[in-house]
Amino acid sequence: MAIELLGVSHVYQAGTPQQVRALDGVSLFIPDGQFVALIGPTGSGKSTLAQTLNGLIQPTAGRIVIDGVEITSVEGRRSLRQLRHKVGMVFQFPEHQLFEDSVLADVSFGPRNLRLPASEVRARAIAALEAVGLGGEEMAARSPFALSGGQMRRAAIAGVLAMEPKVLILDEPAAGLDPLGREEILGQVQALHRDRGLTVILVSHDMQDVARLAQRLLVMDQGRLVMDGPPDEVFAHADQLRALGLDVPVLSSVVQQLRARGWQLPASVRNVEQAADLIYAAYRNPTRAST
Amino acid sequence: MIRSITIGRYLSGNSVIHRLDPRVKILALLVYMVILFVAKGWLAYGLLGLLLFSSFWLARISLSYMLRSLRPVLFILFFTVLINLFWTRGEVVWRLWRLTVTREGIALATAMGYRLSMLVISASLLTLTTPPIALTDGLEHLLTPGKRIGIPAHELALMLTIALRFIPTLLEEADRIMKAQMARGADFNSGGLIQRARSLLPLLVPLFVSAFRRADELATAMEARCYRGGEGRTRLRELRLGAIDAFAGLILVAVSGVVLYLRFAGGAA
Repeated sequence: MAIELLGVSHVYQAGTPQQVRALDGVSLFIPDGQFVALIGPTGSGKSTLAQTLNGLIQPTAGRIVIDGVEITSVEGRRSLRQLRHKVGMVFQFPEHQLFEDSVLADVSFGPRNLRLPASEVRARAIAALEAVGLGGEEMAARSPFALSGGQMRRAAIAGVLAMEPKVLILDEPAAGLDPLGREEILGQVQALHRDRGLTVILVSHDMQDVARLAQRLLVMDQGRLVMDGPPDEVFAHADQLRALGLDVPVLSSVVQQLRARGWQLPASVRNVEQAADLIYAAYRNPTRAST
Repeated sequence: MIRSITIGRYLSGNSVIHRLDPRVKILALLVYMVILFVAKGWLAYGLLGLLLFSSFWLARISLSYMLRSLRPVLFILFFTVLINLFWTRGEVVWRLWRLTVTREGIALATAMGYRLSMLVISASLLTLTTPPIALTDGLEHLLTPGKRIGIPAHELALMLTIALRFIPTLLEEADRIMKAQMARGADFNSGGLIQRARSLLPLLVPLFVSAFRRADELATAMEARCYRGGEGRTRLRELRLGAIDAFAGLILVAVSGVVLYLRFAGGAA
């Protein structure tokens, strides 16, 4: 399911002294099945952009076309409910949305709102819980408030997955979790992308995660899209990213510092193994400039 | 839409109204509200309206902000006007089936509508121009004499401070939870009354859970800072009455005097 944005702008509280321009003429195309990461400093408009894709925020200007339907048009707004079946949105701290008395009932909330038959609702909820590693009768019957923080987060994500969306938007899904919890959640997101071909849009602050997972990076600053490309290309512009207050993954940082000292290395590397090979080759290569 | 609620919202500024002592402002509001319902006759209403409008003008708060404070009570306002309009006996001027509008009804409906609007707007002037902390500080001072008869002034003021402080936070939270549930296909705006009440459950349960969590965190944070109530506490800002406070008091007394005169002495006119 392709997503297309044309000159999308959004102004909060237009016409008041607190007016904020959160999005400023963003145009982009996301093809079906891509894993995209949305990064940028706090207040750069990442979350606003993510919410416009789900119709939760109507942009003040511009057009958004999802799966051939222009959701910003009058007819598009009428079919927002259908849009939300197709585009799943996981908010920051999604565990705060849990409300039912059992995990299964909570995960069923989405499919129930789709007015699916009860058997289908149950099947979807169970499948979604399994997808996030919370399978089993015992877990399904527990109160969502009796789970650990990481489990609550995953139960909430299951609540979105149970809608069986084609596009999954996640706003900082790993924020505030311990390293193990992060790995689990991000691994599950990656598996969803790989196995089910979901289009994934990941809003994140963590450059290591983003470098590892995403096929494409979108860098936002002050409501504008300032960089767009594969992670290795984007991270090659380390200075520009640092100027925006963003981090650069350790790997890119190492390679660039070596380059700065005259090592013969490419501007971008994909992973640790490739970097190791290249650095080894450069080390062996007597033509490197001596320092 | 949820952010447009202006109750308890403070607009920072440095106008004369902003600089008034909070105690004076609270007392003035109380006097104004009482006077508003004692007042009779268009001259008195006009005078009270003028007082309020000029205060807003002095505070440099736009007309749209002033009117926005009416939004939450629009429903009540509408009904008050309607009931007064149709259910007042008197000289009939207009009739449709069983509904009658009387001359007295029109007068009463207008008066009640006007009084209610002024009431709400005047209260919003207080919160718009007084930081919540100053407001509760003032309240605590005013309630201090009541300590002898067992009114826990400090605790009440603290409760108010905390409540005011968390209104925007909880509104934001409600906004986010609402969006999260809408993303899961929740529908808050259709169906019958029972359907709608039920559809609020996915909003209210998480909201309560988070309010309790916040309360718990706040209590811990206060204990960690050795908070132990009002006894012997000193304050960062001492309240002191100044010339503008005296002047404001004088204006209010003058206006009240005229309004009272119009009501009781000049009642025949």
